Amino acid sequence: MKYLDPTGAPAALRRTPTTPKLGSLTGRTLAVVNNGWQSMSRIGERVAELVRGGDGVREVRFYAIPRNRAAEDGVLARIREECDAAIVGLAN
Amino acid sequence: MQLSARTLDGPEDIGALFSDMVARGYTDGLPVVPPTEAAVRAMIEGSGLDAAQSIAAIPPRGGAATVEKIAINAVMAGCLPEHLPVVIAAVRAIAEPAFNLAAVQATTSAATPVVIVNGPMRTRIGLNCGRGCLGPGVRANATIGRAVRLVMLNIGGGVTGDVDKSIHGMPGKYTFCFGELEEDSPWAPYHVERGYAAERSTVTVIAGQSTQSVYAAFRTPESIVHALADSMACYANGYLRGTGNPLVVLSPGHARIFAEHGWSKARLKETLFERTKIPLSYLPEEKQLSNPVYTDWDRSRTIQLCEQPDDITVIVAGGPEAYQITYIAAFSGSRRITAPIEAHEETAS
Repeated sequence: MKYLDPTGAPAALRRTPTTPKLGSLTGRTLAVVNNGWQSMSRIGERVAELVRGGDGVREVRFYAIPRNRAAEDGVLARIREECDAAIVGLAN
Repeated sequence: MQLSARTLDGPEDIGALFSDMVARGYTDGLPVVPPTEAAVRAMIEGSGLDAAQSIAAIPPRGGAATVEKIAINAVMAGCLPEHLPVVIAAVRAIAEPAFNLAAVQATTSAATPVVIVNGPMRTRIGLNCGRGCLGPGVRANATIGRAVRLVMLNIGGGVTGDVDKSIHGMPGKYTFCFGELEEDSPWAPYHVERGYAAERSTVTVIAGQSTQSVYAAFRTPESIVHALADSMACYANGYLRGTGNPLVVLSPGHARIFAEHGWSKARLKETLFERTKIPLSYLPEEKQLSNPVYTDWDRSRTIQLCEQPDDITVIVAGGPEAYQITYIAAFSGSRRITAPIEAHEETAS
């Protein structure tokens, strides 16, 4: 029997780079973006320790985003303005 | 009418065809009506819409829900053509960003869209708003809710165990649709409360967790509220963010008792809002892994079910006796959405 495909594909994504890739973290400011799980708090703190020591990161800043919905534009704008790179916790 | 969906070849035997569709991941595990081209055309023709019209992108996959794709899933769910406008309005509503469908689809909780229909469309399609409206037995309720689920699966990518991480799931994730019994309510219908004219038809979607049956065979508002608030006040069920839209489905009998004692719907919501506050000191001192909104609060404070009384949704539906009330806890982080069933769609049905 012939039948119609019920699935829907997403519209093709056009990826437009908005920031240049970093060659190195040395001297940079890194954001740790935490979606509110204790696991991400621990991971974020450990990552901060590692990059401060081994990669010469100038500063690590911590930002909170909601646990189960999109971050507000203001928070994203601050991260963009204040940091060079970000590590983002999105799950649990 | 031009259709664009890919045509698939399956076995002629209906049982083998069902197995084929299960193997492809197209179903919720229950048998489906084969979405043949003829069946899909009949579904769309009844809606008065263009098959290619884009309705929404469905998170988290972002699949394109056109009228045609929604119709295919509606056929599979067992819908009649006159049900399609309701399904389309519900799909529009769940795709609104404030509904946060990506989280509803992927959460470990039991959240699912609860679809509530108001206005003349309810009676036109034979939707059960009375006894047993949240249970089995009526085609419109069963198939409209199921069509929304199949759209979430096939277009949104909400595959159980893969994208859908619900620890247990719940039966309401198969289908969850009912209407308000406006004719037996002493209060304004829900869509009128939200600013729509009574003669308009609307769909409201609320991300709910599960149904809880509350036995409240009392004859005074005070006692009914006591039982209901006591059932709602569970800190582990809906309080994590202090947001969301708790849903109370009140029998016409209970609603009448409130109204006869001079209670408005607003007073009921305000009373429930206050009575469901829980002292933080009642909770374990150990912190939850997910850092609820109250994590660092002083323990002398109270936590609340939602942000304000009006966030509680009260719908009058079900059998007439003032015995049971159904409470559906909110999924924090999702906002209820009310969407009109577009006039031309409604007329076409």
